[in-house]
Amino acid sequence: MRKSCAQFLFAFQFFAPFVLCTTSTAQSLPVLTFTASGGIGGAEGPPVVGQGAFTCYAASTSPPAPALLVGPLPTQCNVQNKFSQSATVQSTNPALTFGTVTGSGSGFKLTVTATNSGVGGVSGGVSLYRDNIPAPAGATIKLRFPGSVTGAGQVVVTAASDTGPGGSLVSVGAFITSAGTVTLPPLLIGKSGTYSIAVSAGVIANSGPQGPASSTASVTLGCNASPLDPLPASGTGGGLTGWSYDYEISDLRGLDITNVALQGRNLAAEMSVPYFNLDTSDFTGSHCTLQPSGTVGDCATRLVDFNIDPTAVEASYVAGNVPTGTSSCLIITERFEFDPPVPGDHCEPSGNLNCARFFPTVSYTYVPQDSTEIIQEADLPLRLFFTVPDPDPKSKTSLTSLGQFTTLAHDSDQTGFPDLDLNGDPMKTEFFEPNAINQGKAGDSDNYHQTYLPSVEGPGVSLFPPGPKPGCPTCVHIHWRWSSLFALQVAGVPLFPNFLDDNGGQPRIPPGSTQSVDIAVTAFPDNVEMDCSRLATPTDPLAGKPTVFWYCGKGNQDSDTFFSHGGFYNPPSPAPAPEPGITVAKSGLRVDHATGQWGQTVTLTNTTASALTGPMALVLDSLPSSVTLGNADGFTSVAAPLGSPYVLAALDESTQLGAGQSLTITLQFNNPSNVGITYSTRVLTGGLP
Amino acid sequence: MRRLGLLFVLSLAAGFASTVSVTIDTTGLSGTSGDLVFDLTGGGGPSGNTASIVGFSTDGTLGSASTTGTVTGSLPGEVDLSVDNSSLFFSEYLTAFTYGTSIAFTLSATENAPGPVSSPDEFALFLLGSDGTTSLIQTSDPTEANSLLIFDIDGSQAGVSTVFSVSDPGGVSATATSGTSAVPEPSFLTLAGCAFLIMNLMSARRVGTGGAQRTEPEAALRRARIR
Repeated sequence: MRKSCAQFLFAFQFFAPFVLCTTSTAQSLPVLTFTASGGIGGAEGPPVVGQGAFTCYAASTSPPAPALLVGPLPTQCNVQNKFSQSATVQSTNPALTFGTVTGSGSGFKLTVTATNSGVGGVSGGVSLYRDNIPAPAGATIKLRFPGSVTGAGQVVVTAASDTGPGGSLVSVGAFITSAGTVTLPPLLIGKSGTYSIAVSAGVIANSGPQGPASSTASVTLGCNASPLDPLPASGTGGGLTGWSYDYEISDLRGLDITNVALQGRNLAAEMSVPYFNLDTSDFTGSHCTLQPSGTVGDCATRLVDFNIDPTAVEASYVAGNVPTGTSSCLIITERFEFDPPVPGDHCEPSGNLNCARFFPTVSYTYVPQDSTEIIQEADLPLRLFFTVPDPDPKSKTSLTSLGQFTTLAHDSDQTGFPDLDLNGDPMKTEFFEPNAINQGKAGDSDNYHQTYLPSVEGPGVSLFPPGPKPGCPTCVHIHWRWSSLFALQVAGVPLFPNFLDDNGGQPRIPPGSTQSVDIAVTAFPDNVEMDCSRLATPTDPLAGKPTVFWYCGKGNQDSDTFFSHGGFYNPPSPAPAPEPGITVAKSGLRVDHATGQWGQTVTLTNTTASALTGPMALVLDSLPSSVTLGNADGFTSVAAPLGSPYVLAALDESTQLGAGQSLTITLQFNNPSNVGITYSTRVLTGGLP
Repeated sequence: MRRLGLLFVLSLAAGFASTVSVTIDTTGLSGTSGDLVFDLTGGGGPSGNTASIVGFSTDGTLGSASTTGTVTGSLPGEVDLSVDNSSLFFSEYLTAFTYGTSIAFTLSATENAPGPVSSPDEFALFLLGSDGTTSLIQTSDPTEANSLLIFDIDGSQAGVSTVFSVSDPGGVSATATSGTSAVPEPSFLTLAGCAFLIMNLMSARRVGTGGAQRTEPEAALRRARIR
């Protein structure tokens, strides 16, 4: 028998806001019958205070999803097969209990989220139970709570096996303030070769809206795990999160993610782990590839686990023959997680950038046959072919030919602003930076940005209202370190209380990690047959070419995770609206004899009685066909008529054009036919046009 | 017939409403050879405009000139640049020039207003090198064209003149002083037109007499136009 419900209750009763327990009958894989129940508030957990809503989500982890039979749930969560539903909590300390959920499958997952509707605070959280997991010796369990914990939260993870006393139940509690990782101590697995885990995360909202909570658990598998047969089919992920992508178990590149987009705004043509290297005391494997069913040769890999849920897709591989004749293995897990935008999420210090986070991570665990085998280095490069699109419909082109511009920068600990671009802004040529993270310590660079615009706009300071403003709203942002300035406190009060990613100015890597990371930035097509350090040719041009970002993790411990800091991206702007209270005054035109361009200034005046904020765009409609706007920031793709060039005023969401105030925009026209330059104007606010 | 010609001249003169007196200190370029460039760029309005450079004086040395578009005259005499905004949007007078220490002239322009989607016609002055493209001066011109002076014909009586500061080299600056229009006000022109019409009719009745009386207002009107 597996652990009983009572044992899980024992583990959770101290703080868990609700409890999920299970009884199940041990039987051989893959079929499992189970019964699960749980609740929030009442006798089974702490009180629910205020008004809020909570959502239950239940699904089998083994596709195709088996039918889940739903118990009587008149007013609480109506758990059905792969669905979610909300219920409103309006009183204090209600006893909301899940009904009984039964079904069959090789696994089962139940997730509960609690969100605050804005009245007071809601004690809620997440719970996850997963049963019948193939169990490696010395398993580790890593959990991520994506953007869901506002302020602080508690999490407890419990794992159980059917072994005897002393190894049957382990439990870890942790206090987390952001996306965090909790690692269980080694668990002794019994004869069944499987174990169960249960997770409870209690979230105490401080105030205001609390983002959706969810949790997923990834479990490293044993060296003897069997290859998946049949292989998972290719498919499309993302769903309700606003993200979309295609996934495929490829022949050589592991789990291959393509066509990644956020609310229709493309982020990447491809994300993958093209190869890995392993160097141990008795083995050296170079440029091994993640194959789903390889069996022969050094570091032959096989796909042993695959999971997909609304926010992530994950595949685990076991690399054997390291070396041949031993039972040692390297377990590699690719996990591509894409979280929805969370209102109020401070992806960057100003908090003024609407953003969604993504985590294309790769993890490894080295499982030696015995203690004489020691890992020396595991290299796991992430190849991220970002393709930030120009919204100009005239620039439509294939993803693999998009002109891109990039920077690799260091942020000052004194000012918080970039104080060094390692290869210019934008980077003119391909570039390789060894040890951007060096043995767990900061290297020369802290962040990478990529955009379709000809340079990467740095962060700045806004005067109205005072405070920082985000850098490069069009960019994909990768920060493996933030300036320590953002961790500063004055008299115990944080200067940036809502920015939780500073990590004290240290690299954002798993606690205790001594990993290093090399960076290579290359023009596409890049040669994936090359190792990371040989990918970039310093004399090859880069600016304006499709660009591939290689994030090459190098671990020297038995396990590690790369790219756990993730990145962020902003969704497309909402459609802007015309602002009739802005008057437009054009100057005359004059030719620049040096460039042949025709210049003009346009003055925008706010004639309304109140201040207007950005973004504010001056759109030029009906230009003669032979005339182009040389300094256009883009072309209308949302606000009809489409295809008209526009220039953004120097305003963003944090700056204002006061009543009666004016600003001037300079226009530069290309007019090779020397025709009259006439056009009508629109001033649009509230988003990119 | 002669008086009808005068009325035509008068109607043209009625469009000249703006004058700007320009003085330029070119001490910082003294002895430098280059090009002095006067541009008139149409903004696409329903009617074109004419900008005239009159009273040009300098201690520099003028060289050969070239023109683009509709340009009449040559410096130091009067130069007129015109655009019609239908087939011609750009006129330019470019003259080789060895800079002395000063330049002065008066700019006089018609004032036909731009249309609702067009821009004002603009007069601009550039001090270029002998290649005709490289500016000899760095100015605060926001378009980075390095013009020294612009005059926008926005339909108002005075127009809009802007002088940009020069950051490099030192010793170069300009001033532009808008003058009250020296040309007759429209109401006066209307009255004068009526007077001429009456005079014309009267003279038609007195055929063969009074020829000397007709020369005085004609000369006066010509003077008024030039002023």
